[in-house]
Amino acid sequence: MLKKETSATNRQVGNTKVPLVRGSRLSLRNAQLLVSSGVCSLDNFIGKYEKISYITLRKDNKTKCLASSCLTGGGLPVGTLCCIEEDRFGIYSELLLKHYIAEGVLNGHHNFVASYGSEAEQMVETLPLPVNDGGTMMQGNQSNEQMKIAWRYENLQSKESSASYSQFGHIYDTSKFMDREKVSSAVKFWKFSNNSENSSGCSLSAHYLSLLTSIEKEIEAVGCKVESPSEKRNVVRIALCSIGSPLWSNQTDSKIDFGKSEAELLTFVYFLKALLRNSYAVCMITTPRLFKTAATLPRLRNVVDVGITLEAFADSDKEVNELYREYCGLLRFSKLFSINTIVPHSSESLDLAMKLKRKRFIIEKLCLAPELSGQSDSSSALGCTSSLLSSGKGTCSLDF
Amino acid sequence: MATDFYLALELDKVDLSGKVISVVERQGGNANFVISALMSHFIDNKTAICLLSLHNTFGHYRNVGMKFGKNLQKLKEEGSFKCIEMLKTIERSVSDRTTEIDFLFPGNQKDMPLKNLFLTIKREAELLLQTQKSVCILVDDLSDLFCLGYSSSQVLSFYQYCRSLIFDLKSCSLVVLCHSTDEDIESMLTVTGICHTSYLSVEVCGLNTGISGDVSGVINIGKRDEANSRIRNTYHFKLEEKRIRVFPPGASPALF
Repeated sequence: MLKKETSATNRQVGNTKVPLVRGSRLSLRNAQLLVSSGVCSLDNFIGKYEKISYITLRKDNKTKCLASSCLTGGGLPVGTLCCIEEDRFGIYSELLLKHYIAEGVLNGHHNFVASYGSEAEQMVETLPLPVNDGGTMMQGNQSNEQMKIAWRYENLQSKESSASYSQFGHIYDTSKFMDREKVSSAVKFWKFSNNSENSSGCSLSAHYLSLLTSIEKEIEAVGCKVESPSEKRNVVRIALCSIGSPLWSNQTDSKIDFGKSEAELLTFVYFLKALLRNSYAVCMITTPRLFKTAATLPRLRNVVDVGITLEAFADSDKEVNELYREYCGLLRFSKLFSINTIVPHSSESLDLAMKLKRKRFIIEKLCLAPELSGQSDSSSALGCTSSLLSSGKGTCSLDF
Repeated sequence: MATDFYLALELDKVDLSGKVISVVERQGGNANFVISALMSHFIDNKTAICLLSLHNTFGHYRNVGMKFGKNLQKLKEEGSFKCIEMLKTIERSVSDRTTEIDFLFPGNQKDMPLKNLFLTIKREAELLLQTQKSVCILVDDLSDLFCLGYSSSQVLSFYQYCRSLIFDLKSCSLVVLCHSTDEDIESMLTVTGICHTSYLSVEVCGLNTGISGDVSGVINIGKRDEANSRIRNTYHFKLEEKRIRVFPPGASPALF
C-alpha cells in the first residue's frame, strides 16, 4: 500500500525524480511542477504551451509539411513569484488572491497569508466555495445511497480517487463562502515581530525583514526546502496583500521617505524571489500602483516571474461603454516567465478581460460584440430626435 | 542551433579577447537566448566561463545548456565553468542569518559598495586562467543591482572595474546583459554608458505591433568596424525550443 502511494506521489522525468504534489501537474515543456492560480481560465493563459507536431506528406515527388498544434495547459510554476498590480479599488485583485488561497486550502497545501493590517484575516473569512462540475456544492451533504447503474458498468473500477488527486484547479462560487473552521486550520497568518536582528546591515525596514524571516521559517518548518529530505512533498502557497502600499513604509521616522520605501520594496521582492527559487513554494503578491518614483514599476516587473496588470471599469468611462457591456475589467500580462527555456512563455492574446458572472469569475479573451444593436439604437435615437424636430409628423427625414 | 545568430554577429571573424559585448533588453524583449547562445559559442571555442548570475539560478542555465548540447554540470566539475549565484547566496544568508551578503548593501562600503563582488569575480577569473587558455566573464542581469539599492553611477563603476579587469588579464572577454525601459532614466543612462564602451552591442526588442507567431522580436546589432565607427544592422528572430532563427525583416521562413 505504502509502495503504491509512493509511486503515485512521484513521477520519473529523465534521470530526476519529481515529486507530484496534490493539485499539481508537470509542465510538458520543461517538466516544471505547476500549481493552479485558483482561476482555471487564468491558468490557461499562463504558460500555455503550443505543442506542434509536423506531418510530412509526399505526393508526386513533392514534399509537403503539415503542422498540427494542440494547446496544453499551464499554471504557476513552483518556485516563482506572481505580482498582481491592483485595480483602482482593489476588488478584483483581492478576488484573484481569494481564489489562489482557496485552491491551496482545497488541495491541502500550506498557506501563508500576510498583510499590513487585518485585511488578510478579513479576506480569508470570505474565501469562495468550490463547485463540482455538475454545479453542486462540494461541501454539501453527499448522499450515501447506492445508485443503481447499468449491469455492464457495475464491475468497472471507480476512478474517483485518482481523479480527485489529480484535479488541477476548481470552479468556485463567489456568492458562497468556505467553512471558517476549515479555513482557519489551513491558513497561517503573519504576525509582525521586531525580534529580527538586522545583523547583516540590511537596508530593509523592520516590517519587510520580519516578513521575510517569517516566510523563511515557515518554509523550513514544513520541510519545503529543496534540499530538505521529505517522503511526501507539499507546496507552500504564500499570499501577500497590498505589499508596497504607503503603510509598509518605515514609520518610525517622523517623515516618511517614499523613495526609500520603494527601494526597500524592490529589495524585499528580490530577496523573496531568492527564497522561492530554493524551495517548494509559490507566491502571489498584490501591489497598488501608487509609486512616487517612475522607475519602481518597470523594475518590479523585471524582477517578478509573472506580472499581471488589472484595470477595472468601475468608476471609469468604460463602465457605461456599450462595447464592454459584458465585462467588468481588463487583464494584461506585463511579464511572463522564461525559466529553463530560451523561449519566453507568451499569452494566447494580449487583451484579456475579466468577467464576473452572477457566481463565477472568469478570464477570457477580449471579444468586442458586433455593433449591430448599437447601430439600431443610434438610428432609433436619431429617428426620435428628428421626429421631434420635424414638428411631430412622425417621419425620419429632416425638414431643414 | 544558433548558426544564423552567430553569422549575424560575425563571431567567426573576430577574436573576442579583451572585448566587451553588451546585450540590452528593451521593452517587451527577452535576451535570455543571447546569453545562452553566447555561452554555447564560448564553450565550443574552449573558453572557460565565469558567470555572475543575478537573475536566474544555475539550474536554469544547466537546463537550457542541455538543449544546446552542453553539459554545464560536467564543465563545472571539470573546472572550466564557475557560477557565482546571487540568489543562492541571498537565500543562504537569510536562512543562516550570516553576514555573507555584506557587499550587497550600499551603506557598508561607502567608497566602493560592490568591491567584494568584484573581488570575487576577479579571484574566480584568475583561478580559471591558471588552467584554461581564455575566460569569458558573463553578467546576467546587471540591472538587478538597481533592485538592491544601487545607483546608476555605482553600477557603472562596477562595470568599469570589470572592463578594466579584462584588459589586465590576457585572453579575457566580458558579456553584460542589462534591461532598459523608457520610464527608468537610471537604467537608460547605464545602458547608454555600457553600449558606448562595448565592441559589440546586441539589442533585443519585442515587436511594436504586438505578438506574432512567426517572429519573436527584433535584434539590432551594433558593431565597431576597423575605423572605429558603428555599423548597425536590424534582424528579426524566431525562437524555437532548441533553435534560434535570425533573418532580415520581411524574410521570415514562414512566408516561403
